[in-house]
Amino acid sequence: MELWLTGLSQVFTLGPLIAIFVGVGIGIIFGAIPGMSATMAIALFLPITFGMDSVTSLALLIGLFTGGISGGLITAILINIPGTPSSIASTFDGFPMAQRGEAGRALGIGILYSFLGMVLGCLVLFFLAPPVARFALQFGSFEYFAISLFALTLVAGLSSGNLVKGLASAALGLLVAMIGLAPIDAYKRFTFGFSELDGGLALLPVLLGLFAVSEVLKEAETSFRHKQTEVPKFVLPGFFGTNWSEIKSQIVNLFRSSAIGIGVGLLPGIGAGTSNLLAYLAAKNSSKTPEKFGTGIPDGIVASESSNNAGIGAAMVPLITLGIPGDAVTAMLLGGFLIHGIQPGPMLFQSHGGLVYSIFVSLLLSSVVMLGMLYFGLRGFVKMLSIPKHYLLSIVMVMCFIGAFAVNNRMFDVYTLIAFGVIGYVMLKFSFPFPPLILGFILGPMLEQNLRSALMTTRGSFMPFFERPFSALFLGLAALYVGFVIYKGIRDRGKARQSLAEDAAG
Amino acid sequence: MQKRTRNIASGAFLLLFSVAVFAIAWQIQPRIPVGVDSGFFPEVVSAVLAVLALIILVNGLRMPAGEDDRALEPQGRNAVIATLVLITIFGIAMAHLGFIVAAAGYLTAQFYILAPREQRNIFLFAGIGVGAAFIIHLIFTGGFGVILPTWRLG
Repeated sequence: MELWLTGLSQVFTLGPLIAIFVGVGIGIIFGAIPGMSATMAIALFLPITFGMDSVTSLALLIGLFTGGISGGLITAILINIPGTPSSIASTFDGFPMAQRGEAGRALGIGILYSFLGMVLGCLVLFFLAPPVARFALQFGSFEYFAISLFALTLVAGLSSGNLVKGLASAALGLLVAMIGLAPIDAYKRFTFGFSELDGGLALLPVLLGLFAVSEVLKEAETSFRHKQTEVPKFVLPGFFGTNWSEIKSQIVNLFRSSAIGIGVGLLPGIGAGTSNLLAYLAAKNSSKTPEKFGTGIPDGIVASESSNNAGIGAAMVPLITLGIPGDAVTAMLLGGFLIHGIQPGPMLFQSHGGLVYSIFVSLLLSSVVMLGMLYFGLRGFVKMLSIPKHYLLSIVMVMCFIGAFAVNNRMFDVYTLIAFGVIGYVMLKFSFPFPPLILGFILGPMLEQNLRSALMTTRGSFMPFFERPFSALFLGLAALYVGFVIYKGIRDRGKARQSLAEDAAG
Repeated sequence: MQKRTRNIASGAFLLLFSVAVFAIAWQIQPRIPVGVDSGFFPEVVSAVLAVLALIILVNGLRMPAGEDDRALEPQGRNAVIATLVLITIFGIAMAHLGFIVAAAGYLTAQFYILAPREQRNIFLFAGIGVGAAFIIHLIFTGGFGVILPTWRLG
């Protein structure tokens, strides 16, 4: 209780409150505009947090995260283009409602259930994080190595649907992380005589290059075709376009969809881009009238929006308790922690207990701010959609340069940004996913440090990794997952060959 | 570019890259008597990458030739190349001309490249570019205390 009060007193001051409002507002804009995302918003705003205290900067980043995930519903419902992948399923019923002249009601329902889903996800974080952190205190180098490897494997497989390319991307991330001084003995690796590389590559230019510069280059491919966005007229009806009896009828849908969002958020690699589709399918399959899904009914919006927002709180559990980010957005948040010298993990509850609870309060508060801002400021956000992309993308690029330069006030980081922008664009063209590279880059030092520390205590023997229960469990799960994906690949290929043979015969 | 070509090209590149990394890692001298040295982890990761690259390459070679599924329209391709050239010039110019001048020039040119042909207005873009460069500089240096490069010529 004392920690909750500390968290409340830290957040309810001018700086963090402004940060949450600004963060949620800007996050919604980034979420609403297709081609921009919560990940990009956090990457661009990380350099601004350098001069802030840790509570204010984390409040800003959490606000951006919340707004970025929630803003996608605006374009999903109004123009049938999800602002972010987390709102794909909102188009299925949201847009048909908008076409019927019920855009305001669809938006109201989306906003309300985004809020309710997020609150449920936050509750899971509040109740799950402290015991998980207490439990994780017994973990040593063996367990951390195994958990990091498990997370990396899962992200590699799930982020692209192509395990081999995902793993290759993760291996590239690990290699990029090895540039500079090695852990334990400080051996200079892969620096090629450049003193700028002694400290390794800075996180922010790599993140900005991969997620923002490459995205601008991708958008440039089609920018000459952009037309003015036609937004249908809408009126927001009283109480979020719903009523008490409809809310009661959606309770099961809300809890089921939020549970899916929470489950997906807790696991590394899947993310809100998948959870909204899973929740939509679950809602459709358990409905008495599945044929109505896709024709414009609130159930589809409730499922999609409650699941994607429920994942926000849940995704913070592995980040805060183990220091392991589950996807690109939480990897960005981890970057925010590290920039301020805070190492997330079980010790965080002991060393910065007040800060952990200020994160909890910020999350809850940002959900309330998101609810109010979306409801009362919706018209303003919709107006932002009319800003031509050529202005937005160019200014985003300039902000990337500022962000990269501000890390160490040196041009070397700007050149790193350009290099990783090009690498990111090439990866996009060759269908290699980014999240495994980022996770590999962030988890690389942790993996190597823990592996080498563990092997020093065992005098080079790998057996203790398989003798300690949790280390063995996570290594086994990683191996099982890889085995399952290989088996599935072989089975799918066999099926494809069989159907081709049948087609040829028939 | 066909999916087959993409896989062959990326597989071959990654294979060469991983072999080069392995060769460099192999030369790392051990410094500590127990456990593993600093070359162990890069050796393992580059070996894993080599195997993965080989799988991508073989998969590509076994794929049937198909149609080009990601061909860019000439206008799109030109916009990407021009943007790449522009950001490189912006990076170099920022170091010598300072943020405001470099950003104003970059923004003007980038607006022009990305805008649809019928919306191109160089005077409007120059005005917005110069204004935006000043405002961004003011917000970041004055508001957030970020240090940005200044004019270094003369």
